[in-house]
Amino acid sequence: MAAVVTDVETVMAHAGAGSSEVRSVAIAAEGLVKKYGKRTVVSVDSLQVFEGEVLAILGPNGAGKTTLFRLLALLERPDAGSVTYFGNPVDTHDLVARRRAAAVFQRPLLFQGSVEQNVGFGLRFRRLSRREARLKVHGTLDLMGASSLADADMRTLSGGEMQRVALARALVLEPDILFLDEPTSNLDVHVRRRFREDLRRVVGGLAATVVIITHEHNEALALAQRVAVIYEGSLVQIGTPQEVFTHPQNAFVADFTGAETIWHGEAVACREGLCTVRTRAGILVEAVADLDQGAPVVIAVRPEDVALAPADGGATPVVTSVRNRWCGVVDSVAPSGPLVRVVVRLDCEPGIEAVFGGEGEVISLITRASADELEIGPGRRVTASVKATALHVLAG
Amino acid sequence: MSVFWDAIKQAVALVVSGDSYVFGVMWMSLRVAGTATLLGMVVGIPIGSWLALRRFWGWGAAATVLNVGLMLPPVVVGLFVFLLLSRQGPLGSLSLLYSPTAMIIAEFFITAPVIAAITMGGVGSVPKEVRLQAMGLGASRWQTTWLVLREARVTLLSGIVAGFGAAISEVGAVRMVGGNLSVNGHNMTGTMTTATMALVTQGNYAMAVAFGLILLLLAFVITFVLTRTQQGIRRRWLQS
Repeated sequence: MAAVVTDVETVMAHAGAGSSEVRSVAIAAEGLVKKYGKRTVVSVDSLQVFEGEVLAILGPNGAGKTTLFRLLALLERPDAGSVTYFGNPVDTHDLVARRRAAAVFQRPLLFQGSVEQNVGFGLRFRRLSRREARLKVHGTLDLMGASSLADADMRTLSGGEMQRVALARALVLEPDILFLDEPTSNLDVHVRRRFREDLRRVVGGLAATVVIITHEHNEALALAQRVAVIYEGSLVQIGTPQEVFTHPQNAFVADFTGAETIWHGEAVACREGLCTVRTRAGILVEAVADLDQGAPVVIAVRPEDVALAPADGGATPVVTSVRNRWCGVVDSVAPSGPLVRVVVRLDCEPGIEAVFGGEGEVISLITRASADELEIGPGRRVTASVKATALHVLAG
Repeated sequence: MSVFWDAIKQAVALVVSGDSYVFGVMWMSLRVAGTATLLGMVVGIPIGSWLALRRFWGWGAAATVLNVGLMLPPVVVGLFVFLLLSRQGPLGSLSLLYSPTAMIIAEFFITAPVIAAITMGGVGSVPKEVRLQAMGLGASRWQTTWLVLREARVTLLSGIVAGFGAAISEVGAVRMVGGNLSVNGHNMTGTMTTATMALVTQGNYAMAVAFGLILLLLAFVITFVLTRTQQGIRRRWLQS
């Protein structure tokens, strides 16, 4: 496999990583395997979580995230492999080790009773007196801005409040390791946004090592110092969010971290670090990469990196540094929050072939104002442009 | 119809006047059924929880045995305990036949499967995630089990009441091992159900109706308390 360097940012990120200090390991997993029946759900050769860092485990549904979470949090036993906390081997029966950690699940899973009781359960498990527990519970609820809920019964809470209580229930234990399994995925969109903000504030202020499971790359980006991408039970990439997002190691990671346009092709010519790639659909792409001629590659493009211009607008073509300019016709337009997601079918490239599966399309994310200005709508002829440095070139 | 009304009037009079025989029988019923239910809880709740929380080789067979226990004909239970305690039986030397203890043993075999089966259902319906969440907050194995039982407490309460109901309304087994004995009008092993049967064959309808009324009243009170408790648990959920 050819060494692939995609863009300037990645090079900088690597330079940064080289100078990082040695950090002690909070959680280490070696050769972890978990099977359900004959199906291998998790198979992780090696994973290390450093002390005090926030690590996001990112992956789609069914990738084995939750199982990995349960193995790391000592809630399930692996079929093979081992987990250590701070250098000591640990397992599900190790109550002392389990009590160094606390877990928050996707569903709040509050127990019957009041909020105060719920937040106090872990402390009571640790044999704290009712008085001590009460004091700590109220302190934590204050911190979470939820002290008014202390006496409320858990059945009366809203989804957001429940998850807040579930988080407080873990934080009150002052764990060395905090495990969060998709803590926001059960919430409404607007509640989620607020909760995530609170989560960021709380997690940022913790000295604890945090492992957060998520299937949303935005969440990983917002919260984590490192991201581990998991797919079909295995880790496919681990690194800083910047590394993972700007230098995805394969098409899956690129796709999953938000590169919506994925093209397959092969390098046709390379010169001085700039390669021309011809895609299956016949689109010619120029990218910063060091490839062997004929090497199969995957081109991934984030929609926010694709600019649109009217194809028929200007009398003279604008001179620009942008290496990739493709003409096409708008296929569909869909609002995406404050932005507009535009699918452009690249039908007027010379030598273009009809290929299914998005190979002949590029997806762009532009503001509503731009869309209005350019009169973007289905059938509109446009030119899509992407800088050669913004493309991700991955080994195919 | 007048026979019926006369019987009710006399029954009320018996209860109100505090007839010693009536109260002796009532006390015996409550004592036997109550003790059997307590023992049934001590054995049934752990077995039911264990079957709900663990899967092991032979689990299906164990669950089947439990369900058979649930449908055990009381007369068969009575016969079994009778043979066990009879003079020639393995426990004959203890001379327990025709004693309250014998009735408690028989009723234990009737309540324990009921309590175990309902516990199994209740504990089994608590999501596995609740257990994981308890563990994720540092609960030991016992603490986790305690928490799951706490989550299933409404069902557990129903199971206990169902077990008590089965015990107090039972006739066949209790009659066989208890004998409905009384000496000089002083009750020895009569319960409300066995006494009622005997009184009817003697033509003493008033006292039979008295016991019938007490049983009905008891059923009503227990149901009322249970419903209130369950509603109470639910109401506390709904209060803000």
